[in-house]
Amino acid sequence: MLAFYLTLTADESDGQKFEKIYNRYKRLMLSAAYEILGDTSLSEDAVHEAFIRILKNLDKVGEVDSPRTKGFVMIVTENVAKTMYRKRSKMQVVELSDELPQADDIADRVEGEMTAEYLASLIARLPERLRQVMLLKTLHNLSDNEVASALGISGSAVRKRLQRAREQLRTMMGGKMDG
Amino acid sequence: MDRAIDNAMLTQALALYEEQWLGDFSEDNAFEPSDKFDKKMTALIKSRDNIFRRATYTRTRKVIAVAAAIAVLLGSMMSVGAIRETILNFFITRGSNVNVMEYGDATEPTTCPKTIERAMNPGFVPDGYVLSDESADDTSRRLFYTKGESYITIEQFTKDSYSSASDSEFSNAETKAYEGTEYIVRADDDMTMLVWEKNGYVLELVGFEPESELLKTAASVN
Repeated sequence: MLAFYLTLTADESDGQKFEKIYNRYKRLMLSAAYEILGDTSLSEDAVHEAFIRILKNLDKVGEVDSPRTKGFVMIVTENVAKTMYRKRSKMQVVELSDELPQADDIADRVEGEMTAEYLASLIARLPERLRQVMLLKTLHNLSDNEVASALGISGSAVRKRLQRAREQLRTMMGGKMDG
Repeated sequence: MDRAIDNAMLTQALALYEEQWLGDFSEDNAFEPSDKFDKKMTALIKSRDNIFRRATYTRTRKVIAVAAAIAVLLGSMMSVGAIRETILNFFITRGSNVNVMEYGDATEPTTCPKTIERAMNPGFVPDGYVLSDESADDTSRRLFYTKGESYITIEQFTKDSYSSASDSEFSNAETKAYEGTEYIVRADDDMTMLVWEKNGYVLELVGFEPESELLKTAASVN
């Protein structure tokens, strides 16, 4: 009975999709992991772990070559690599924020108006763990559980981080966000 | 000034940010994976549906037995897809070598037992739970209690063998004192994990009952 359960697979096409993802993104993922970990062997460990998480959410991956898939793959990879880095260095990593862009630096910002470009610059200032959740939930439309499995965190952590992300954006904007 | 924005603006901004961020990753990099890694990934691709062959880490093999027990015992009450999901969730959250938390400082000298010299058992379990499975090796021991679709696992580890898959949220887990013992408490939506030290061993309890019941169970382990 157990063997029957354990041999359950998704469709054959899933295997082909997974192989495509691997061939398409492996170098990019290894490069991103290496930037963080600085070690070839650790980077390969990180990418392997990332692929396991991607495998778990394979049904949510659409076109392999799409920007959406690339974004999802890179978010998971960076998350795994940075978690590895934090664990191995046993240091609390404090994320440094960039300087707030001055009004004159943002050509597309109109006095009194919110633009996507300005909001994107604020998103870039969010702590990465909050930004990752916001990207996967709001942009990639993953469910709480899907985000949780992609990032290796709990469902409640997903909801908490999304709330914090919104609060921090609100604070940076000095106003309120709808919805 | 009221800087109200809507979700459409937020989505647009997120897409813009992601496009800019992904642009930082060069597609022309010459980073080539090692042959060993390529073979490992090829094996993963080919055996993606076999949970045992995907267990590439030593620590993972130790918990596969528990995952298998869960699958078998819940098999008659859960759908096939739910079983697979349970095993995958168990693997992802507990079998990974990446998110590892060592309990205590591995470099500190210790006189704690190097093997399970004394098997510890609970004196209390919540109503309705029965011992369904038990397994052990030199450095760890597992008790598996079930009640319908619910279960409680109690694991005993030697101090230097303990590691627990966790994410960065574990560092923010709560610490609670109960009947003179300090517990690390981590709770998800419906599951609670307790980690504590006793008699030179590290113990870990996972269950779905109210925290008070699980603490009472944990405190009775001796």
